[in-house]
Amino acid sequence: MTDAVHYGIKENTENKTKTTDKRKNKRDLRYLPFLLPGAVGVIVFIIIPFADSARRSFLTNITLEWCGLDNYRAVFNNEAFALAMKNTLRFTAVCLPLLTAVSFMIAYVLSKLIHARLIRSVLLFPMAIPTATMVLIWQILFADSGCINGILTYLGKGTVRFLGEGSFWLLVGSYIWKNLGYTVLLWLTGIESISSSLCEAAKTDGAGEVQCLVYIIMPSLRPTLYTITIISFLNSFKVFREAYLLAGSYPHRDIYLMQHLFSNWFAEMDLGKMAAAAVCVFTVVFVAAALLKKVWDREW
Amino acid sequence: MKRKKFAAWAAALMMVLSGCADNSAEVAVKEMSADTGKGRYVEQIITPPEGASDGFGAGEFVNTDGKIVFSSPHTYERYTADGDGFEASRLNADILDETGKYYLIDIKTLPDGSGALIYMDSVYDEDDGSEESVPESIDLTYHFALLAPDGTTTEVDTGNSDIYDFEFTKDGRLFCMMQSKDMNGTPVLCEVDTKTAAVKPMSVNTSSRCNIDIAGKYLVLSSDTSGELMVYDMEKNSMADDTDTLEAFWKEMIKGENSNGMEPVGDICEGEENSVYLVCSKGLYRYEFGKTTVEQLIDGKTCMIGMKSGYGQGVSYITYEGDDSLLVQCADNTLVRYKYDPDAPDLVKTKLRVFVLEDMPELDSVVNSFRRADPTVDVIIETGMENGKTYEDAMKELTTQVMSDDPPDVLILDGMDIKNLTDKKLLKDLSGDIADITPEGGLLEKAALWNDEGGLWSAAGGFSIPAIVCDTGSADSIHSLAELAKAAEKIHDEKKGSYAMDLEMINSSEIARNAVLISGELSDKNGALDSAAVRSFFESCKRISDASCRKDGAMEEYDISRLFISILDSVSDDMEFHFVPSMLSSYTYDINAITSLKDYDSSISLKYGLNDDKHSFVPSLNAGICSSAKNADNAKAFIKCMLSDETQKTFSQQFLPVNSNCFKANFEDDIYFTTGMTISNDKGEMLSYDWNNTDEDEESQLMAYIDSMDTPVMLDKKTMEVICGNCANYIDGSMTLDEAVKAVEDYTSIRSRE
Repeated sequence: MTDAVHYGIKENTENKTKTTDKRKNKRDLRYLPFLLPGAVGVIVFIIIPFADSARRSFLTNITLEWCGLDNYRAVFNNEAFALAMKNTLRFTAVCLPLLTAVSFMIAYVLSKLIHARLIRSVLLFPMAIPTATMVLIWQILFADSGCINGILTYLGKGTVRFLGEGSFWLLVGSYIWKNLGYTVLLWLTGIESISSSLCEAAKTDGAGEVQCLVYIIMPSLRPTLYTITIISFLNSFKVFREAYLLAGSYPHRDIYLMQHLFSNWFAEMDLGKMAAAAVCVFTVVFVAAALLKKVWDREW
Repeated sequence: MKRKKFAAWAAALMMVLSGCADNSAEVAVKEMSADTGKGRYVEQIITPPEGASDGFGAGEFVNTDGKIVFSSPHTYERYTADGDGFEASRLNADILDETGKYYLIDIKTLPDGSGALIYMDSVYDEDDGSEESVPESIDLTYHFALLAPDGTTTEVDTGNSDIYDFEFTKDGRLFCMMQSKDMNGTPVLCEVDTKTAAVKPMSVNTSSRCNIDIAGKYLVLSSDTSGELMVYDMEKNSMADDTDTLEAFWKEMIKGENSNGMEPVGDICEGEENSVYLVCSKGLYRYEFGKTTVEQLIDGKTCMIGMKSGYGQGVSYITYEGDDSLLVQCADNTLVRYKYDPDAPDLVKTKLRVFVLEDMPELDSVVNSFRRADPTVDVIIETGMENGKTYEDAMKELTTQVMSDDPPDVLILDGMDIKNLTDKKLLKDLSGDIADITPEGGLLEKAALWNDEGGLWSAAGGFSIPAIVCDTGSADSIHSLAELAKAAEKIHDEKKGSYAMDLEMINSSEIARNAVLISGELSDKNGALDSAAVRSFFESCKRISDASCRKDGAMEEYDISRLFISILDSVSDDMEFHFVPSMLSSYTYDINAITSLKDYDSSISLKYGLNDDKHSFVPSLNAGICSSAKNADNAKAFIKCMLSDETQKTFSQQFLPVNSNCFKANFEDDIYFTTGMTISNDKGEMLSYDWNNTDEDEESQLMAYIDSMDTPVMLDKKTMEVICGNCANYIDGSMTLDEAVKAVEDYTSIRSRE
């Protein structure tokens, strides 16, 4: 009887648990309708077009006949693709650490200021300025007959072709200037989320400012660093607008980026090669992001 | 307080937003729908009356209570409406006697024979009754006179001003536009007393030369060069109110129409119920005073209105006959009636899409001919680079259309990378259709069918050829741009202060562009650019620029070819130019001009083409059919129409026709507007120059060059932009030669690797 009762109770408990789980599952599924609009957008505007690109990567340009891996072979043998890939990776390799380091230093200094909050809104100004306006200013400053060369000529120095050989560093400067404020904000938010009692306790135990920074603040900011790395990495691919507006569709070879190649291929109707290259670039970016995530997760 | 602040911010925002918008008045035009169902205006071309001379049609209408008369200042004839046609009679005016002392500029006569006229001293005196000679000095004064029904004239004292347009109202009042002889003053509206010939200026000034049209109680003053329009209310004796719509519409309608600023291109006439009709090659429109919309009655591309002849620009005059019927004088003075037929069915069945990078006036002529030949097909021109779009934007738009399986039917390939499009198999092979599209008289195949590697991918509608005219030594001794530069430098050193050459160039970029076209040195059928050739080309351009070029653009204002003016300059005492390299794109204005010049001065030599090993030419209006076109048959018919005699005969200024009949007709044609030219030089001396047809030897020489043409100059817009931009930077000194060449090399190396 007891057993029976016991079992009955157990069964009841199990039933209850099952009912609760079902309710819980039902409740868990309630979020789905809210996801639907976003999911539809992603499917219609990203997944389907990308699937179409993937399909086109195996077809000829206009006649859309099956051509196997010809487009992929053409991409891997394409010197312009190699140049664009090299420039894009070089740009990312230079900008990513530079932006991360400079923005962190500024954020750290700002975090020490009493009125840091007032400066926050100012930090977002570069993002609010339209790219075209910004490029116009850069052209006024850095064109062959621009202000800076005017000053150099006035001082008796030779002119510098900023939009020629110096265009890569001009583009780096443009990227840093545009993204610095936003990245500083991200760092600031991270720094402010660290409990001040940690540093205070460390200081009581005799730690200095540098030790607090190295052993408390920096380790605590790893999640922020991950976010910043991913955002900056993706933003570094978007610098094409600046390069395009600054020097057109065929800029100096140092700032010839992946998007230049895609844009020109599209204009020249090289759709097969473009689709194949898009698949390759997507794969590389996706794998890189996944690897980064895995490495990050493992360390934590 | 907060609310006030918000209101202030909102107002400021509104001001900013409204400031961003275009301030010019938007005109609502009710355009004709392609599917109008039943009812449309039907075109009827009026045949010249018996006994009328060739110039029938050239003269402004005078419509007095439905009695329509017009008089031609060219033929000295008067045409009176008679039923559906016209009757011709000789103009009766005492100044037009047999001595030919006066030259008629303009005349308008009323149904009773009275009227008014503008005339000046004739340039030529026939001193012995057979030969024309040039007087030592010419009086260029315009005389204005009233004409009585019996032909007697009474000169009107216009003081120190010239009258350049006049108009009679229905009740016989005469209004005119007057401007000081030195052209410094602003044009003034005046009324002339037809009894006393007294001139009474009115307080209406216009900023540009305006024509007068009468519309009921309104005087409409309109300029078909500047687009200015003013309306004067004769009853109130003041400017009319609420005419913004008409003013804005006229400006928009005339925009881009008057390319040479000389010919009339549009007109206005009175309609019924306080309305006016407006016409230009874009179409025929009706506007009712006080309304805010303008209604399109006829689309210009479907009828004679939009037909632009080689000489006439388009529509000259219009008048309303009543009963929904209008008379319009079109290009070449063809007189056409448009009468509304409520039962005429809509004809449009299909649509043909034509993609072009930039507007081409000659394409409008093809569309017009095609639509008149087959009104069931509506032609839609899609201009890729309109509204500030770049070459890349235009090509991306084309790519999008192709990708979405909605390509245009016809591609006008000028400025595109033709080889790339051919390689991509975007173009249909026309080899099998060649017999269908070739006109009866044949084609100049080297020019028309040049794009024939592995198939025939396009057909050119016209072409230009380079030539060099030289007054020192033989032009035959120059074989390249470098040699031309060397010759220019030599002359520059020998004759200090004189320009050695006119390359029809206004700025450094134009120098490069013209040099590309004239020399053909950077053209390769495969589209490749050789670095050594680019370097040599840049160097030559710089040397030519330093040695010789005239850069002030002073020749721009002339109606006739700048080449011709340059040549005249070179034979005048001033001797400004010694070399005139140019693209010959008009038989009358270019080829006849330079061959006649050889007759004038035997020291002048002419050579077609610059390089002996590359006989270059510039094909224009290159039309191909999209391989996936949905309307391929009509596209083929469109190309056939482009090459037809009717269309090709209208190509007489922008490029030479590829149709053999039309090209060779130039051998026989009389020079259109004059057989001679008299200009005065800076010293006030007169220089006479006979403008003759080409003789057989000259024609053989020309045909020999055309038969030997082997290098089409067809650089795409992007490449041309890169070459011209960097060459201009080098010429202007903002780049070294190495930098300029490297910039082109970088471009070509990246592009070829893509």
